[in-house]
Amino acid sequence: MNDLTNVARQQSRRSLLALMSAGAMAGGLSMLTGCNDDVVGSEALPTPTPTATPTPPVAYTPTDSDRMNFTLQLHYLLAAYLQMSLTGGRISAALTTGSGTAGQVSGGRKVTFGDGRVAAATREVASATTARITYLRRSVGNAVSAQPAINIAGGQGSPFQAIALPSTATAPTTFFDPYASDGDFLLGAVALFAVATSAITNLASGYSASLRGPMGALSASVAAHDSVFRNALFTLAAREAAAGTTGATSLFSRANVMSDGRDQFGGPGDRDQGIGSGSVNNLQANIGVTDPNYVAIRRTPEQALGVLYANASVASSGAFFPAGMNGTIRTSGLNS
Amino acid sequence: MDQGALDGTGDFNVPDRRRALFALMSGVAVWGGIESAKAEVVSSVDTIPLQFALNLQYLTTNFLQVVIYGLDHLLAGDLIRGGEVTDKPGVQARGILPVKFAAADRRDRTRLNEIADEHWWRLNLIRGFLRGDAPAQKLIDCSPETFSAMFQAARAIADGAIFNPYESVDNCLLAADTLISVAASVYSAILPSITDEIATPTMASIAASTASNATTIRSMLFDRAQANPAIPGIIDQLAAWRDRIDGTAQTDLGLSSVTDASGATVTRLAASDSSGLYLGRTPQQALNVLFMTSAAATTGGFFPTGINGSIVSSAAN
Repeated sequence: MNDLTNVARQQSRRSLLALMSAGAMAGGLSMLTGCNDDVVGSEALPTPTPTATPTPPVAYTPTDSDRMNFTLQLHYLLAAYLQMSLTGGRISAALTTGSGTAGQVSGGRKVTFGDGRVAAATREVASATTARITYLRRSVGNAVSAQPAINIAGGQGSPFQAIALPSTATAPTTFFDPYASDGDFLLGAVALFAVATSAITNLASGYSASLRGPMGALSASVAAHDSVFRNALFTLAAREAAAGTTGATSLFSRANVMSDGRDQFGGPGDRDQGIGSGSVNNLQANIGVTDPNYVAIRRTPEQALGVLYANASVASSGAFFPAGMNGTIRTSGLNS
Repeated sequence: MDQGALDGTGDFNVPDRRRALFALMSGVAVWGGIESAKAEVVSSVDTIPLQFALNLQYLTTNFLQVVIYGLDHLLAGDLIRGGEVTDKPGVQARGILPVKFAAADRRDRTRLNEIADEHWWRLNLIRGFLRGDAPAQKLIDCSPETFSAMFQAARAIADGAIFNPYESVDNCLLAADTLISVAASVYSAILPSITDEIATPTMASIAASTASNATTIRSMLFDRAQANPAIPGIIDQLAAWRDRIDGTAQTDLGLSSVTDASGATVTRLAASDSSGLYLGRTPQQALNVLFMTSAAATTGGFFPTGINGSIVSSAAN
C-alpha cells in the first residue's frame, strides 16, 4: 500500500475518488488516512462504502401477532413436508388462507416407509403440527397470514440440497433426497425441526404475559416433536453403527455434515448439532441441541430465515420460500 | 403461593423473608442473620418460580446422576445448600442406587447420560440465577418404597407389590419418566411468571430442553416395549393417575399408541394436548404428584419433610 499512499498524498481528494472509482484501490481507509490535505469542506464528501459491507435488514418492532404469524409460517413448511411424506398430499386448503401472497406447495413425494414405527411417529408429529396451525390461526385472528409458495423438493438444485452441505464441502456427485428412505426422511425432518425449534423457542420469551403461557407450551411442544425425530434417527443410526457402518455415508456422519450445512446460513457461530456419533463398541448420543449452559439453542428469526432462504446475507426469499414468507418477519439477517 | 403453610423449618420462612425484605427496602440491617448473609448476592427478581424450579432440579438431577454415574454423584453439599455460604446446609437425597446397563442397552445409556449431564448443568444455571436466594435441598426420598407407593396408587402394580427402579433398565426409565414428565410439564407452563430479561429466554430454553428430555425417555420406553410389551400400559396407568391427582384439567398423556380415522397407528411420544401444545402443570399441581396427594399438603411422597422456597404446598383438588 505504500506506493498508493504516496501517490495519494500528492493528489487532491477529487482525483483520489476518481482513482478509487476506477477500482484501483482495495485499502480505501488507509489511503484516506494519508490524505489529510486540509481542504475545507472535504469532510462532506461521502465516505466510500466498500462493496463487502452489505446493508443490514430493516429494523422492525414485532407485535405478538407478528411473532405468531412467523411461527405459523414455519408451521406451514413443517406441515407441508410431513403431509407430503406421509400421504403425497397437502394440508387442507382452508388452513392456508390469509393475508399476503398465497402460494402452493411444490416438490416432494410420498415416502415409502420401511419401518412402521417411523411412519406412526410421523403421523403423531404431523397431526400435532396441523393442530398447532389451527391453534395459531385462531389466536392470530383477522391478522392471519396465508401459506406462501413453499418448495420442498429434494435432489440437485433443491432447497434441501442447498442446506445439506457446508460451503467448504467438495462438489457433490449425489444429492440429498429426503423422500428416498426412512433415514433420509428423518434427516430432512431433523433439518427443518432444528430451525423451527430454535426460532420458536427464541420467540417464546418475547410475548406479552398473557401469551407467554400458551406460546411457551407451544414452543416446548415443537421441541418435543423435534426430539421424536432426533430419537428415531438416533435409533436408526445406532443400529447402523452396531452393524459396522461408519464413515461419510453413515447417518451419524450425514446428520453432522447437514448441521454444518445449516450453520453456514444461520450464524454467526455454531447453532446446530448432529445427533451423536457411533461405532460398533462406542455410542455417543446428542439428542438435545444445547448451548454451553446445556439449554436449548435459540435462533433469531433472521438467523432462521437465513437457513430457510439458504442465504447468509440479507434476503427476502429463497430456497424453501421462493416468494418469501408472508408477514412482518420475512427478511433474513447478516448471518455469516 | 401458599406462604401460610410454611412449617418454620425452612431456610426462608415467612418472618425471615419479610425482615429481609424490610432490610432491603429501608437499607437498615434488621435481620439477625445478616452477618452470614453479607457474602451473598440476591440477584433475581423471579425468585419464587426459580426456587421452585431448583427443587425440581434437585429431584431429577440426584436421581439421574446416581443411576447413571454411581453413588459418588449424589449432589454434594455445595450444590444443595441454601444460598452461597455454609450456614444453610441441604439434606442429601436418599434411596437412589446405580443401575447396571448391559452392552445391549448402550443406546439407552448414552441418551440417559446426556440427560443426566444436561440436568446437572441446568441445576447450576438456576442456582446461578438465584445465588443467595437458592433454597436448600430438603430430604428427597427416592427409595423403592416411595416409587412403589406411587405405582400402587396408580394401579401400575398390585397393592403390596414392590417396584424397584434400580433393578433393571426398564424400571429405571419408567421411574425417570415419572420425575421428568412432571418437571417438563411445570417448565412448559412457567414462562408467564418469569419477568427478568435474561431469565425469561433461558427458562424458555429450559422448557424446550426438558420437553425434549421427557420425549427422549418416552421414545426409549416405546422402543423397549418391543421386548417388554407391558411398558406402555404401565405408563398409561401412571399418566392417568397423575392426571387425576392434580385436578380436572388434562395434564398428562399415556404412551400406548392410538389409531387415527383411517385406521393407521399413531404414536403418543410427546405429551401434547389436542391443540399441539405441551401439557402443563402449575407448581402446586406438580406437588400433588410429587407429594402423592390430591389434597393441599406440605409434605409427602418424594419429599417427606417438604420443600424450601415460597411455593411449598400442593393444590386442594
